[in-house]
Amino acid sequence: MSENPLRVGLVEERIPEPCTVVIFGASGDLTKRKLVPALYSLARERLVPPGLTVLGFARRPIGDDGFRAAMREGVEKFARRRPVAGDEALWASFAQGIFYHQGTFDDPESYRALAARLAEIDAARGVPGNRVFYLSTPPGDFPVILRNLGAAGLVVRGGAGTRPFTRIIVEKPFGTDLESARVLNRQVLEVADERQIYRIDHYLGKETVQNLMAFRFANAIFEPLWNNRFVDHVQITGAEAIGIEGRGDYFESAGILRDMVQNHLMQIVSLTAMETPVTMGANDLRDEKVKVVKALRVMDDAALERDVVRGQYTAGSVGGKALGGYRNEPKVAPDSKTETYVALKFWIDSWRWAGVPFYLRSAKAMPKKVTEVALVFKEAPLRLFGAAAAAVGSRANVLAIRIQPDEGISLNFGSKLPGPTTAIHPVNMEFRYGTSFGTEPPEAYERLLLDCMLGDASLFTRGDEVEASWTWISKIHQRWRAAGTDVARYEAGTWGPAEAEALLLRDGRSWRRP
Amino acid sequence: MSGADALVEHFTHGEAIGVDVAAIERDLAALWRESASGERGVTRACLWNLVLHARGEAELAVGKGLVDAIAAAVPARSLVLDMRAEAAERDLEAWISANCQVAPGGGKLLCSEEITIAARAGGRARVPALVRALLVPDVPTAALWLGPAPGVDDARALAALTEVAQRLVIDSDDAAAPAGGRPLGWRAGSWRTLLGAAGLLQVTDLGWLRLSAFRVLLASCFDPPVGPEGLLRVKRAAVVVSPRGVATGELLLGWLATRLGWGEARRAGPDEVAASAEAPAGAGAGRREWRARRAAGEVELGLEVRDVAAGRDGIWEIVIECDQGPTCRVVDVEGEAAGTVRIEMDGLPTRVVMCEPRPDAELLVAALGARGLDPLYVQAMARAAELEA
Repeated sequence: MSENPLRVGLVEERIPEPCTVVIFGASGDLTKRKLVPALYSLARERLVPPGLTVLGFARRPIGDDGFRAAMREGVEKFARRRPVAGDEALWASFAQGIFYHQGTFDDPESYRALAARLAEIDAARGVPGNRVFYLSTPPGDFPVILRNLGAAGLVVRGGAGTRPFTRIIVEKPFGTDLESARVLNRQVLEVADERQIYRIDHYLGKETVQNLMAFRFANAIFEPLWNNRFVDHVQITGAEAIGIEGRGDYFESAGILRDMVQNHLMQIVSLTAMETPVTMGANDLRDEKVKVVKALRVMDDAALERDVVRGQYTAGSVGGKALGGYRNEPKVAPDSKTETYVALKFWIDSWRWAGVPFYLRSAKAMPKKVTEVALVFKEAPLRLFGAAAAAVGSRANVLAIRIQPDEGISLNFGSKLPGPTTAIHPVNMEFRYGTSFGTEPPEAYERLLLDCMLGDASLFTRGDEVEASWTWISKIHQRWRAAGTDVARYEAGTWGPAEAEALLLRDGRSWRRP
Repeated sequence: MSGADALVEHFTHGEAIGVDVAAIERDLAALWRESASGERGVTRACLWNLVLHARGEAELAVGKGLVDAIAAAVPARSLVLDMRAEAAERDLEAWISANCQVAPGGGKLLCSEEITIAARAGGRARVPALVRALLVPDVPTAALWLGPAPGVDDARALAALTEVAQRLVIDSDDAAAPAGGRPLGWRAGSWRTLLGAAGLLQVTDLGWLRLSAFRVLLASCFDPPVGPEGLLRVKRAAVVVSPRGVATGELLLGWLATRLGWGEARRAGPDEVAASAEAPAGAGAGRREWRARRAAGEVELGLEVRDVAAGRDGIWEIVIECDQGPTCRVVDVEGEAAGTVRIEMDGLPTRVVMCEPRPDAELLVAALGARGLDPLYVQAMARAAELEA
């Protein structure tokens, strides 16, 4: 008997086995703001087993108590389910499972000591050797951590059925271009199997991103319309109202294409355009996502010139507050050509989407924060009510899926205006998460950490998908580098440069006002 | 404030407003219309029809409390049926009220609606048709059976609910009994009645959801390094319960039997628990023993009822003893460490883990979600029915 029969059914109830989550880079912001608060919220909702243990690994000599105190502060400030009066016993129990191990990433001795510490904790807390290693460090540290974990015998190779299990969560960015992504994948696979690697993109942990799949594949009425017979074009918007907030050193080397499009918005493109997976299992789902990325038509020089707009914000105001220009940010070159805005028109060469243009824009310093996907349908084949009947707005139906904020779905259609005419007016049929369910959705990290503990990789990115998306994105970067042209300018607080408007106008279309 | 405004104010503040039984829907619609035209936006939401079956003041109070407690998490139209045999001046009366919460992010009031129907004597026969008319179309219906689980004598009432509902929520744990005390809640034949119902609709049991924590702890005894091999050689599985936990104990043994592939359980010795079932809650004590075949040998099953007030969710102690070891013992801890459970397993250090009981409202929310559909529950229930035979 290899499988514990008493565990059967518990996974379906989404109760993971006891395990230790080892966080590398535990003194960083992510641990305090997101990871430990997420684990606490899960504990508060009784979604983690009693033996759950968190071990922080970092350089600073803060000890178990210091780490616990810092995590308590983080939980109080950032957890979705913050401790309230009467939760002291729960915190005490949760804190008993928090430990800290001081070590340096490049010191093999630190890992040998870590192995001994973990064995000691396992025995005391009834953890059967299951480990999740969370690499919450700069990507430059990944190789040395992975190598040392392997050398210390801390990674047991094997898939979902292997016990005890070892799983490795890698934070984005997964490389900065195709070549670096390939190198990183190779380094990871030297110590663990692909099935053990969980590349985290927190966008996939968002309820509304997952709802894209539920909306498409759990409802029979939308999928028949979800193709080139009915859809005129697709618009994807990922807008942020903030500027770069002092992160000039990071943003100068990243730009919005790397920061948002290659990861978050590519996930949305995949989920919007994918075929129905055979099952919702991790590999079936990810197979379909990869097919979409591989079907992205590679842009030649002419297309890159014509169909890609990059922009950079100048001084303006957002939400009533003045915002300085990008080039005035600290650590930004005064002649920087880094894009804070990108708009793309691209094609997916598949039977479903042949002939349907996808327009995608992502930017900083927009009038408001919004992420949405909109399917703009073809107009009715015959204007039965006459051209003048459309009193206001477009005659095309629009299905808009709002990822954030005000998560929901709206369907825009024409309705007869009350009165003795046949004037048609566009109206919205709205579904809002907040008003339909009344509950607060879990934080993305809660869902993703729980999934990893349960061995469900569906919402994590597979290595081949990462490489496929870099293959496409790197082309754009190469073109920009080669051309050396300047970026278009747009005033902070507007919807982007005029060139982006022209991108759609020349096709007889216009950007939606989200 | 006009009379109509005052009525809307009362309504959105949750006060019950008496209405004509024949015009419930019309009056509700009018009140919503008035509410929506006010300065503050009001949004109605409905994910479920909840039909609550209560047979007296105490069950009614528990039911209304539960509906209020889950309104924020599960917006629903609740039909609270207050069914009593005794005659009254009017045999059918109705009240409507709203349960409003500020929507996440503030601003709008997010409201569920509650319709209470009091049926007395002959009026009860007219309730099923009324319920059919009041269900919100195109959303699922759950029936909540409050108090003692339905036994064979509840067949008619149960049939009326199963006709309209897709999910039946019961609580096999007597812990949820309305205040005031009553005889031991679990009835002989209840598992078989529920098993029959499970063939017609989804049956969800708050008692099963409570057991989840114990199932996790028992499973953890047989994770590495100990491993699950001992589970092939279980020679004794015993549960000690407080009087309210008889059904929960049976369900736990049923779960072990189905997971470990034991044969049909046969009674071994007299039923000492049955005698105590007539006694008031908290006064029972006794023991039941069974034997069942396992792959190579026999296993003894024991259910001991102790006259104790404490015991988490009715469970006091669980022991799984394997031939040639190991033995796993999960024990509820009392006193200062209340809220914790001690796990003793041969070869492992003793652990004390936090395991606080979950509020009934939280369990009900889970029961209306994906966790309310657990095929293991039906299997465990079938084996529990054997113990009841």
